[in-house]
Amino acid sequence: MPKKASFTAFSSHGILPHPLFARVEGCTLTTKDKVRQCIYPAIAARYGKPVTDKTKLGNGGLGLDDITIRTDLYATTVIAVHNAGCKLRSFSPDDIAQCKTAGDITDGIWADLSAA
Amino acid sequence: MKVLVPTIILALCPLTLFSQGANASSKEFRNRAEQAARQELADAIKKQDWAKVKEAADELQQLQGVDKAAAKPAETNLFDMLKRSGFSLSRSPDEEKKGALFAFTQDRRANTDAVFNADFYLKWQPKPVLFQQIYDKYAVFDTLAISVQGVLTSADDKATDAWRFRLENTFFTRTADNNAWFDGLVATLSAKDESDRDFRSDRIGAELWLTFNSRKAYIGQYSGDENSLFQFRWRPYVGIDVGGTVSDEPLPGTPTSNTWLMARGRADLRFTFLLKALHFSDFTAYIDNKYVYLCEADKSRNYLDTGLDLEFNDNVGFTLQYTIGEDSPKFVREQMFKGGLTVKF
Repeated sequence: MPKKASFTAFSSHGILPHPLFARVEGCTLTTKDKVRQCIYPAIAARYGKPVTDKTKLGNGGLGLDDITIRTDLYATTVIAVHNAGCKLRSFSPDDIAQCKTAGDITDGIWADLSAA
Repeated sequence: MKVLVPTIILALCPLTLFSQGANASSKEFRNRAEQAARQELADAIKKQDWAKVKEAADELQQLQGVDKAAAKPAETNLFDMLKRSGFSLSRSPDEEKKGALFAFTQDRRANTDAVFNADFYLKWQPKPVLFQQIYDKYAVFDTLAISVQGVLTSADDKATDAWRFRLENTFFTRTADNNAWFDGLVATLSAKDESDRDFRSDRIGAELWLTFNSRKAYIGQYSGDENSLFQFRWRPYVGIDVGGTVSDEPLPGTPTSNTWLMARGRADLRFTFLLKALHFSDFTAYIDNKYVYLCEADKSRNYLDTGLDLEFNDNVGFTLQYTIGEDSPKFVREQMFKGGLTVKF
């Protein structure tokens, strides 16, 4: 059972009351495979289609248009990662808009989590 | 005025230079991730699952070499370098997966000059400032972006020519219920400078577009699957544009109006059954209609854009486009048929 993210009301220096600066403990997505197991079920449940590394986000796969990829799919992915106790640092709607497949999203999220 | 707008845009750039919060202990996380990758590697070797062995080895290498990798630029070509710097090139703001169009035509028999056409949307969005709220419902303010859109032709008839410079921001929400009819709202607010090809007719103002996502109504997601004969999706928009015209010459088709109310609808039809037979990456027909009501002048303008998009692979394609009606900024009537190669990255 993944440990839930714990959000505090204030940042570590106590000035900015925003989840953006929240502390996150116990990120459970310590391998790329765990990232996959975290986000693919969430995407599949949202869009009603099975998801693998090779599933295309747009035409020929989930069939999403660019606005849905940039907004709804992005939010679906980020919420799944947050629910696994992890905080993404720089993975943005623009990054997901550049992804062609679900595997690209996994790579992008893993690169963000494992960055120094 | 030509200098003022870019200056304002550049002055606002530092606003985007915040950074997102990091995980509480990145080093601690990487230590745990290294342990997990070692364990995964050992398990994969035991099971003789060589694909997993490769992935675990890559992860381990990535985690151990991340500091070295961070010190070295990883760009391999110009497109990658531009992409990593936050640049993107596509045909128009809502068609990021469609290539910018660069085309030319020449009537050899009549010995006329070649006519060049370009439809492109070049955007720069620096690494993100996301203001996210994650509760039962989810809302995001995306990073500010700067863009230039060109709909240009070298032909004498300059009715369709337009430059659009924008400082834009998107706000969106997501509902948690996977079975709802309403999935979320998408709002895009832009400060905009719109002009003709020669920058003789300028309109400066603000533009707001609203749309929403709904999988059940096929808004934003295709119906059916790869086994269907056709797939269909659509998207409605409403918008408002408030601004003023700063022109060296009068605009022939634009009665003075500071407020425009706008409605737009787009529908895509994908010929799934043809893709397997022809072995193309994609083949779609689209229709996109924009209606503008000029409030003070009590006039309306309509612009229809329809066509076929054929994609040979992920980067190169071919498009046929037919447009009729009056589009901003001049709202001069046009009727055009275009064909050309498309490129995207």
